[in-house]
Amino acid sequence: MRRMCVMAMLLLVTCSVPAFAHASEPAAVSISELVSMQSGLDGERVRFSGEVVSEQLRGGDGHVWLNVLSDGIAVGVWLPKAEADKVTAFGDWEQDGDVVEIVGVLNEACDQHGGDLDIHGESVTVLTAGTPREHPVAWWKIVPGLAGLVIAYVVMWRMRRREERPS
Amino acid sequence: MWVALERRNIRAIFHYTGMLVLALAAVMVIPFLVAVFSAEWDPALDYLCGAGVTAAVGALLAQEAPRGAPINRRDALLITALAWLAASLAGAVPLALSGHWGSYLDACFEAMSGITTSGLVLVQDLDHLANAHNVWRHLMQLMGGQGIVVAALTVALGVRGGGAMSLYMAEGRDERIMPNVLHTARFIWLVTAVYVALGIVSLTVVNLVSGMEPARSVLHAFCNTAACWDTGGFGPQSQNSLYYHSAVYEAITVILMIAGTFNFNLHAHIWRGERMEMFKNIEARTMAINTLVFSMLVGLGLASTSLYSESGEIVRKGIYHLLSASSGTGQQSLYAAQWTNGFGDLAFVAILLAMAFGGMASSTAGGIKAFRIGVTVKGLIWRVRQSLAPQSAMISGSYHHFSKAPMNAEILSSAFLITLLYTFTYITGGIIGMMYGYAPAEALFESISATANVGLSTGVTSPAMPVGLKLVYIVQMWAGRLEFLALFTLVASAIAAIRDRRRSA
Repeated sequence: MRRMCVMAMLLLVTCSVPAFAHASEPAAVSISELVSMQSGLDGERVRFSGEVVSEQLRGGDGHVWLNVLSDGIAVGVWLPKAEADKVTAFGDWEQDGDVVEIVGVLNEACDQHGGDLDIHGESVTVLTAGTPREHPVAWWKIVPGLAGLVIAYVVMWRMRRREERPS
Repeated sequence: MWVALERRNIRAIFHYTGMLVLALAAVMVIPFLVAVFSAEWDPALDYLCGAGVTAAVGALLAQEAPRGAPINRRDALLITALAWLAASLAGAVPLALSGHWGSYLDACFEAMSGITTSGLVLVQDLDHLANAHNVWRHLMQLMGGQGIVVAALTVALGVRGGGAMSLYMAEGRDERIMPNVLHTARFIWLVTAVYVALGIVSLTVVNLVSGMEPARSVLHAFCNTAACWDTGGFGPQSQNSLYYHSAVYEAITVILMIAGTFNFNLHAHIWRGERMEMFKNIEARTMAINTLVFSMLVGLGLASTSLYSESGEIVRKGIYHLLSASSGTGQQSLYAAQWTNGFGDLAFVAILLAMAFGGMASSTAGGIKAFRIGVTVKGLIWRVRQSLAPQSAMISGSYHHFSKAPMNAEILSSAFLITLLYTFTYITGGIIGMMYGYAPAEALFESISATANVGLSTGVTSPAMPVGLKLVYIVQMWAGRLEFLALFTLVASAIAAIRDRRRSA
């Protein structure tokens, strides 16, 4: 009897391992899948990654918003400020933001936030720190620019002289 | 009878189109300065290059005729049609040079969308766009919202006599707010300046409280104010209004959208203290009834969905987008997929109709316009009353539009004709979209959004969409903004010129 109980306990533990694994580590999804409204993940814990493209925006209750971008689509993540503080760089023209992995709950229409499609984030992991973006200057653009301005000036000057000339 | 243009007319048309293009080149100084102050050196050169090319083309066109060359009504329509096209082609130059648009055509699409205050976008990687380019995109909306011709009239287009009024009216504006057209143009800019200033201040405060840096707060406030007041719909971030996660932000933008969709003449009456005009005016009443009916439909539609049944959600997702649609703004806090998955059919149709009906005439909004809808409905009632009355009875009808006016067949047929043209264009664009393989609902939504210069999108508009469809939407945005007449005059003049050339050959 005791042996059977041990066997049953072992079986139970073995069977529940995937379930526990699922709880701690949800499957990775893309942002485009999250906003497709067909993911079937509404209210589920999700894991995704992307570049942070906003500063921390006040979110109330000790939380802030971060907007995270991947494949041209950005999604809002509402998460505790302490977690968001791990992010130090957000993307704009000057720099690429930190690439982060977010774990949180997907809300296709969040009751707490006026129906926004958002993520209530639990944790943030910085995968790659943000780096400055290179913007080489294309000096050749000066040539058509200045040439055009000179042409415009000469043409307008000639036009004015023509108009001032007594007919 | 279609009479071909004489050389004198063509020269005058080139001259004024050139002057308008020159004015556009001058405005490019603003994003150039923004680029310099933001240390965005390559974008600064985009504007140097863009301004140079635009100024040269403008000057070469302008020299065709002396300043003050007389123009007639047809010339004014042609100048307007060409000026809007030329402005889009010129405005696209710095955008195309930035590398954020897949091709020059994509940049032209964006520029046409900006100038016509449509708001459909083909920009790539918007979240990393330079400040200068964002300022330029929104400046185009600011100029286009007031009207390019109006903008140029305010400074010194140099047109004399009745030509100025013809130009003003050719831009789809029906009303003379002040006795002088120059004063009218200046009044439009005065109203704009007040609302833009208020919008920038209030949105800057919201952004600062949210935690944005001061400079970024002001930049975003300017962009969003221009986009909302001019019912344009662009945004400095790819998420549009969803970026801010703020009900206060949405409330302020709604006020700007509603103010933007008001007829400038109505603004003038309100400024003069004649507030009762808001309650008597056929246009304001129609707009109020439309908004009420569509709000109820959106509310009922959303309440029946499993996602947006809470009252707060109905307001922030339903009413917000309804006002965005009916004002022709296109500010969006939904993802494209949400329109067709989750929003519900009834609410979707209500938004579709609100876009199609549009805002008020002589405003920054697009669409059929509330005035025409109101006059058509009132005219229909008048006709029914006539048919029910005895033959000897004289049944008169009237409507109030800043003053009491008698209902007559001419105003009714004019309103009905434009309504028909818009409807035909909506459906044609939808069918073309379907021919390219898009679902009927999405294709029709996008077609209406382009023609009515709204900018809400179900995702059809994207850099990957077929070139043919991009061209179709460009024409739809252009035609819709000018309310067809200027564009038809351009096409008819081109046909007449070709016909005459063939005859003489």
